[in-house]
Amino acid sequence: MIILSSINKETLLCWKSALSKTAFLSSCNTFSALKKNLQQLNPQLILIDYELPGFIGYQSIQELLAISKQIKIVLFGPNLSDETEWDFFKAGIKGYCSDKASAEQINKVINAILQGELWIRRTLTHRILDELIKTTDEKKRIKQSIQDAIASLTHRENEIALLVAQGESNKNIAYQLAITERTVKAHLTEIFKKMRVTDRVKVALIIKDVIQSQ
Amino acid sequence: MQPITVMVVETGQSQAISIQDLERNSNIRVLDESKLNDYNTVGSLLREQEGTVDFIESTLEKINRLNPKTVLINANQTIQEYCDLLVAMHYQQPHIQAILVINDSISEDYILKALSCGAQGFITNKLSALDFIKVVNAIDQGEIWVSRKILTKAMDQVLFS
Repeated sequence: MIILSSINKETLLCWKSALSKTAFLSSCNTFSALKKNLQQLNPQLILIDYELPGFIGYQSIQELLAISKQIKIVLFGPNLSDETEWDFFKAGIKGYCSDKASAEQINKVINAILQGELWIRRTLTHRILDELIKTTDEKKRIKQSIQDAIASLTHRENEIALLVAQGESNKNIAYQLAITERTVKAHLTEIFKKMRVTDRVKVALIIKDVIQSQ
Repeated sequence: MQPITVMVVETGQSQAISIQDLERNSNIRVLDESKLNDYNTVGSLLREQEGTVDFIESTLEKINRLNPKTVLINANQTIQEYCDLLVAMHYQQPHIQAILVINDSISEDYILKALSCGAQGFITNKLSALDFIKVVNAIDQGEIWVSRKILTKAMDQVLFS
């Protein structure tokens, strides 16, 4: 199922001609109707005209993805600046296509996107790698700061953090380590401070993540 | 038109890149220490020491000496060293473009990792000299050279990590 969303009859005709071999097509002419169709029809792909009434840019893309995470969105519009087009990709579209594209070109774009590919201008592709490098660096930095925080825990704090990760209550931890609950709480306060978190659930998640990655 | 200077980083013999083919009828000039008289001694000394001196340090030294626009990295082994070299290049010589030359057995995850370390593209060792030249030129123009499939995976990593 593919939803075509445009108020322009010529655009809809062109899209329909490009998708003449696709059995299940539905069309709508406002953004609110598109949202309703998305909820009811569970389509694989949506074609959106930049001029669709109610469509307000990145926010609208995010609204659609909030309804269906898996939905593939192709936006058709005028020639945008690299910056604007890239922001649409960051919002989650899978392809951007000129509103003047021929039926043949549209067919090619849609086939590529249905096969799980992105349809992005060559001049924008280096931005993906730049972002990938940034994201990877950020992940490394976070990993390192977690490792540093864990390394700064004392032996006792480490024991308590591990028991927290196993889901033990303060009472059980106190019993297992033969200390008072008050001491457990004092250690936990110190653990939260060192790990820069505010609750035991976050400690548990971080420790479990570290254990799994080892 | 300024030539595109290329340096080749290789550690294995199983996947040698044909340097002569790259230079033929193109604006590409392959930088080779044996061609530079001034560096003959240093070059042969380095070759003798290969395997004993640190791979990344010696490669970075070569890059600094030859100052290429593009480095072709023959990544026929899935070793961490290539990624470490890419990261070091990305920070020390960000203007130099790095292209990985891979064989079919290298996994997509490894390619993604290499791209996240700073490679601008990858090509297979089966590519013809003509296509090699095309890729080197495209990357020199600021493009990246990866398949749409890998590009999509990279984008997913950016959006959902």
